[in-house]
Amino acid sequence: MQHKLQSILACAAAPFCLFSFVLLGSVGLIRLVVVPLLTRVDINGEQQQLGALLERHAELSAMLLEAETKRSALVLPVQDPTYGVLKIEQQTQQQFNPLFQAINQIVQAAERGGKPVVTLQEIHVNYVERTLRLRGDVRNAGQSSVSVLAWFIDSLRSIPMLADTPTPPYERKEDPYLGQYSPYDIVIPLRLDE
Amino acid sequence: MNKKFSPLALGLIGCLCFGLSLRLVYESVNQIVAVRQEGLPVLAELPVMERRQEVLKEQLELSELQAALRVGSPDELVHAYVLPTENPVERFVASLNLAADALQQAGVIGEISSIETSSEQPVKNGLVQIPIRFSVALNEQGTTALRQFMLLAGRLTVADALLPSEIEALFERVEADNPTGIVPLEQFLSANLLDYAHDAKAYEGSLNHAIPQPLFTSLLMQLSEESALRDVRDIFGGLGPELKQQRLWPLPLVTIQELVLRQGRAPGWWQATVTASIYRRTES
Repeated sequence: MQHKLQSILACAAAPFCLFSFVLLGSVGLIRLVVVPLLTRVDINGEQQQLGALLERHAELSAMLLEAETKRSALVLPVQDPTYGVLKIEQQTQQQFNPLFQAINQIVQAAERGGKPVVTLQEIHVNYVERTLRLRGDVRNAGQSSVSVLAWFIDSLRSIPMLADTPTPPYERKEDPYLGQYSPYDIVIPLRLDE
Repeated sequence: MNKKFSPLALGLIGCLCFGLSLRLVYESVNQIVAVRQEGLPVLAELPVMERRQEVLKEQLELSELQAALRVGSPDELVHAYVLPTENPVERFVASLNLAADALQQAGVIGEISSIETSSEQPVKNGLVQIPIRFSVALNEQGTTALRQFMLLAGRLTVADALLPSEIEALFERVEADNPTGIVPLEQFLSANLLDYAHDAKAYEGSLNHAIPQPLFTSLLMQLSEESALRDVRDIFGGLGPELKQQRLWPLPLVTIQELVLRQGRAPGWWQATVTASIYRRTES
């Protein structure tokens, strides 16, 4: 049986070798002649390969970037780098401006019958550490002062810059003048678009 | 052939040729796929990039010509007034009092306290900051106006009031709609901020006249209403002539460190305490 298999393999070796040799020749020919024809691209009327195309793309990208930088330097009047850094700092600080209005809108939305419900006793913006401290209380809401405080905190979180508003301790206190009220004092890290 | 080569050698040569053929087929297929996947998108981008290159080249030539005609450099103004070598606190206090007077007349802020200054602190690159602190009673409009005034102090030109992304949007629009519009755009961006605040319509109208394409007009309108240019008109529109007359323009640059608002005595009013920094160069 083994002898028979060996004789079959010995007979097939020469045709297999010939077939593989012809196959290699044909594939090599295709690779040298046909593949370049299929992978050629036309750049400004010249037929070039993919590598040249990518090189041209990278070269153009660099030239455009350089031209944009040069244009900015020519068109934008002030080029002082120290001034540029401080101006960007000011522009970052300007992002805080809409915050005050947004918080006031929430406070006003909580009013009941013209009476303040969410009061703000202190708004402290630290522009360097980028934090906002809010201190105040929820009053004129009877037993629901805690749920109004939870609503206030949720509403603050809906402002993108205040998305990281921490949860304050929810507690209801009694005061002879205010009645039932829920104080809060929170420090919120401000999220900014850099 | 069987007599000259052993079947084993023939089999090995056959296997080698077959393996090499498979590898060549694999590489060829990969090469064709790469051209389809990477090459074609890049090929589609090239004409657009080449067109941009031509446009930018034209804009650079025009800008270079315009720059050659420009008299004086705004950088000199920065060195003389915005980040000067002399202590700028007095000039800032004078301009703040001027703004406070106007806001008091509008009924949005009260009397401003005396302004305390602390000792200079080095920042970097030959720059020192001088901390200042003051208090004032104000309502919501007063808070907005005070912040606008302080955070626009030190800006010289229209370009300085715009964010880099807003300037980029203007460049892109001009490139697409009217490449030669770079000259009027440069004139608009270089306009003195105080002159713009005094007569914004004239500056915007003149730019619109030079670049009348609807998309550019709509972008300019959007920037005029939604960018810091609106704040510039609000705060410097009325103050401008007085600032110029008292030779307080350009203002020294200020950044705010802290703003504390405590509930005031009247409803809707706050007692604000502002801590800010003014800057001075240690070397000219």
